[in-house]
Amino acid sequence: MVKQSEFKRIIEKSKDYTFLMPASLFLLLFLVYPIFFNLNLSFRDVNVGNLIQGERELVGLSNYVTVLKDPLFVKALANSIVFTVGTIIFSTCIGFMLALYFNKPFPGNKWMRSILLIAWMTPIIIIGTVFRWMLSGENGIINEILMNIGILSQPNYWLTDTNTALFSVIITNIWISIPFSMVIILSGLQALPGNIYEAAKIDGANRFQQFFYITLPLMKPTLLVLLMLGVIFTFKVFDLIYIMTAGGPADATQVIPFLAYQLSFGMYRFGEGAALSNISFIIIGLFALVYLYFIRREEVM
Amino acid sequence: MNKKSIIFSTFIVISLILVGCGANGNQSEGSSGDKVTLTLWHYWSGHLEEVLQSNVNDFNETQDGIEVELTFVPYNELTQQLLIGATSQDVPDIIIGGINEVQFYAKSGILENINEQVENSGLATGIYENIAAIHKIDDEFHGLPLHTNAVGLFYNKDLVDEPPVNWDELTNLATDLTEDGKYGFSASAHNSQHGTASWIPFLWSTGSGVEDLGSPEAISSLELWKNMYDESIMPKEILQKELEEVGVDFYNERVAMIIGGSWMIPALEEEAPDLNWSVAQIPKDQMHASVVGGESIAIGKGQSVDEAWQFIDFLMEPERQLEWLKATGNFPAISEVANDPYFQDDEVRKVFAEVISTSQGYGWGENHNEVNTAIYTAIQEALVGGSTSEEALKKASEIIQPLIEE
Repeated sequence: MVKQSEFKRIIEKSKDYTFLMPASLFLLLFLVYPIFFNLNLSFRDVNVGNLIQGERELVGLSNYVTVLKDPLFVKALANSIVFTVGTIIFSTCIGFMLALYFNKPFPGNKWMRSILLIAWMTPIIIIGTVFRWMLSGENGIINEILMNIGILSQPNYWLTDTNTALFSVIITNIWISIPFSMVIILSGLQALPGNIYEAAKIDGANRFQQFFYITLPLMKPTLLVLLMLGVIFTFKVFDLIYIMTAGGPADATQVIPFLAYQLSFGMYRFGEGAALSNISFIIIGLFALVYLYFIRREEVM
Repeated sequence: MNKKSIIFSTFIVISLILVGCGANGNQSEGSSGDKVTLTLWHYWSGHLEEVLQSNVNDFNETQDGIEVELTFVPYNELTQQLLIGATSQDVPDIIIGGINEVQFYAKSGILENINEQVENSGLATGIYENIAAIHKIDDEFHGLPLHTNAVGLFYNKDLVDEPPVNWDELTNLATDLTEDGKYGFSASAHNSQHGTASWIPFLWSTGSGVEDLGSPEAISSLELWKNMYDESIMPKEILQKELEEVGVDFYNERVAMIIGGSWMIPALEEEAPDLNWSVAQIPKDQMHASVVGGESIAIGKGQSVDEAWQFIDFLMEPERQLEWLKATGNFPAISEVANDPYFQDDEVRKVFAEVISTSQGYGWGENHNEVNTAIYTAIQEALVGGSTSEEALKKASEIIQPLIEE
């Protein structure tokens, strides 16, 4: 008698689990399997010589060593960090300012906010191409403007000059990322309780004090989410680099994801490409851990 | 509610499985018919695709046993798709791909050895030695050249009376022609095949080669470009320009001389019908040199070789070949065809027909992509990366040397 009810319970339970099936099947097939496949690949010597015929020899960590020893890796890592930090700082700050602005009711507010989102909705291939034209040294509009207001005396070849190429790509990426930051921050701002500000006003706090002592601390969870997502999105940049510079000139805009692509699909050194994408996966994973740590601390507090 | 969702998800799973089975069923049905269907992968669109399609239609009509079907694969993805297919022994029956990729494909095990068929058919006789060599692995044919093209010096006849023959003439003339917003000379220094193919004729012209990039001769050929680049005789943005984009500057008369490919001629005639232009051999140091490009046709490993060969044999028939070349604006790899008045009586075509007979391909087997990357990186490092030509080439040489010696 007891046994039967136990059995019934298991049946009941397993019925619940069937709801997990589609999702877990999907994850297994399209996420877990590729990750492990990639991990396996990174420990083997896989290149065009043995991709189709022959043994894919296990070589331990040698792919990782080769990748890490490559002077290009250091350059790409440095570029990736500069690219990520530069983009995040500016897009968050500008996004914050815009969000504060659009948080105030004024005529045309919603309309203008929607227009700003266009930057985020436009495909990267279009943005990249348009910025390439604008940054052109021969007849780009950016040189034209800078020369007319007297900042530049002669045209600068933004994407051809190794000193300005990375900077130019970062500017483009900031432009792309601003609307996303703005929307996230704006939704955070709108959720803030209005009565705190009223109380602060009565206590005589001015606008700056209100911002630094009320808005900023209350916005911390939102900002953390934003930074986290931003770092992940930005660190794995590929399309923009591919379209604007393809890592050039002379590797001045080489970043980790693009280098991994080149190793795998440019030189067909699949083992090394897999190793590098795992390294990049680990780097992003570390960011995620830091984020989780902060979240946990927030919750405890 | 619960029940409903279970039924619904079960339904979905079952239908997915059924769809899967259905697709499989169809496939096996197709191949069990008495007609053999051959898949042909190519990366042409527009006019070239039409020419290919009409030839395929002709072939399909001549006999009942074989049906050739075209599949378009984008140029940039062909190699990837072939490699992916080959890992599961699933490559197309016939492949039309870049001539300089043949070595790479063959050594990767994508292509069938067709030496016997080629030798028996007699198609091999008359193919230029240099072009035949590109299609051979261990002296055995793994593909045949469908047509060739090459790079040469395009010049604006209104500005250039007599095309430069050597490097000094090139530099001097280009300097004279450079003025406010106009440039004397341009060539692609793009970080891709385009940059490599544009510069390598200069390297070969010195008698040097990729196996000897550290030599004074090799350095002098990069130095030639660097000097012109530093003096702004070459446009600054050639690092971002592929061959076609360099060509656009030529149509717009922003540059007087460019390194361009013969395949650019139809576009040039269409876009700039009033431009007064011609073609000459690339200025030389020791000897004239150029890079051969074009397309080759080959058979996928383990596919229907006999049937595929019938199609290739049909396509390579001398008369059909000449029609093909006329229709596509390309050049022959066979001296007999090149001697046809069609090539010899035309000022521009004559130059290219001659260039092709004497120049080399630049396939480096399975190291093709590493060598290519090392070379275009060296060009860019010297032009804008702050390295001297010597430093840049030495770095490239350190990458290439061990690959070649392997």
